[in-house]
Amino acid sequence: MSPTPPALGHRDRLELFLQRAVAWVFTPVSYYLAWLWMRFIRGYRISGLRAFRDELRRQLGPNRGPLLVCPNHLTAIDSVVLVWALGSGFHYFRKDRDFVWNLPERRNLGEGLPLRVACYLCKCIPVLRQGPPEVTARTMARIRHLLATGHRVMIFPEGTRSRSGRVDTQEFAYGAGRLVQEVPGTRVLCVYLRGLGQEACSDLPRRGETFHLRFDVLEPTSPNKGLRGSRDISRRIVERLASLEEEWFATHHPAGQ
Amino acid sequence: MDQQTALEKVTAIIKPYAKNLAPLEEGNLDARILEDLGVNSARLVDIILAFEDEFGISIDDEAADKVRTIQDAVQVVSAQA
Repeated sequence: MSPTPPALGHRDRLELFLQRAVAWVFTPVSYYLAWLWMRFIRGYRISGLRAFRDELRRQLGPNRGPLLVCPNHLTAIDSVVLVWALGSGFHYFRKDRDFVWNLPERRNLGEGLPLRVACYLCKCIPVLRQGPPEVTARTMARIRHLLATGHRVMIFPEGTRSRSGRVDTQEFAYGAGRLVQEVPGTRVLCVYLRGLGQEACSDLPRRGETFHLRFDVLEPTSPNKGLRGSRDISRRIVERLASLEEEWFATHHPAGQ
Repeated sequence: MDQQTALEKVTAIIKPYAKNLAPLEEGNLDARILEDLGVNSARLVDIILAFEDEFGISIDDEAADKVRTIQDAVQVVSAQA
């Protein structure tokens, strides 16, 4: 059995607390600036948004336990669109734990200060993939702490954008499964998000895009521990995303299956 | 298990996942599995699991996180096999 993961240090707790507090204060600004850009500059819409949020609330229930949001990944702004989909700015201001923490690859953020500030305000925890073990351990400890204290965390289980335009059930990462294993009681919200005109992966969805969503809430487990268990659970998550994708295409692009 | 036997088995396990075989063929122990051999980061976990199966050992997450080079892999399996 894997040893108990190390707990989070005081300094890391303080940094997370500060980021949470600053992000909360700026939520009305950060959320609605992004929303205005998406809605009126890019012309994006989310079909059935109210019904999606209602059904999501119903399925999640009052349980404030750990929730890992695992979406498919087609564009560079999937996480921003999903923050919009999962709640309103007002909702996040009232319940800031519902505003998902994101885990972007640190190398993708570059050195530009504006992007770094925006990421900080939008509750990003940069992740250095295959970085030094002590950095990885510290990042994982932060994420575990957030999940265990009732925050929502978003991770793309494929590890990268779907290069073929479809969920990759072969080349996926195992980080999602590891988190589910290490934080008892973690539920997984699988969300499939795709615009009607999205044929392959891209930086941005086309202008005027209408997104359609499908989701499911899982409580994946594995009889195995450690890396093997992480792999089992990650596979289950990715396979559920693939089946949501099939449902999406059956509904919106019957000829495109 | 001696280091040479471990190295041969480790190399055989990594080979199918490597895009760049040159460092393996040169026997470069300092070759980094991801950067130099071109192994996909997610597949590194499959390699660790293959080590567990081949050597009948259990490698915990912390030890797995420290496997960066071929030498690291040989040391991890030699220490337990």
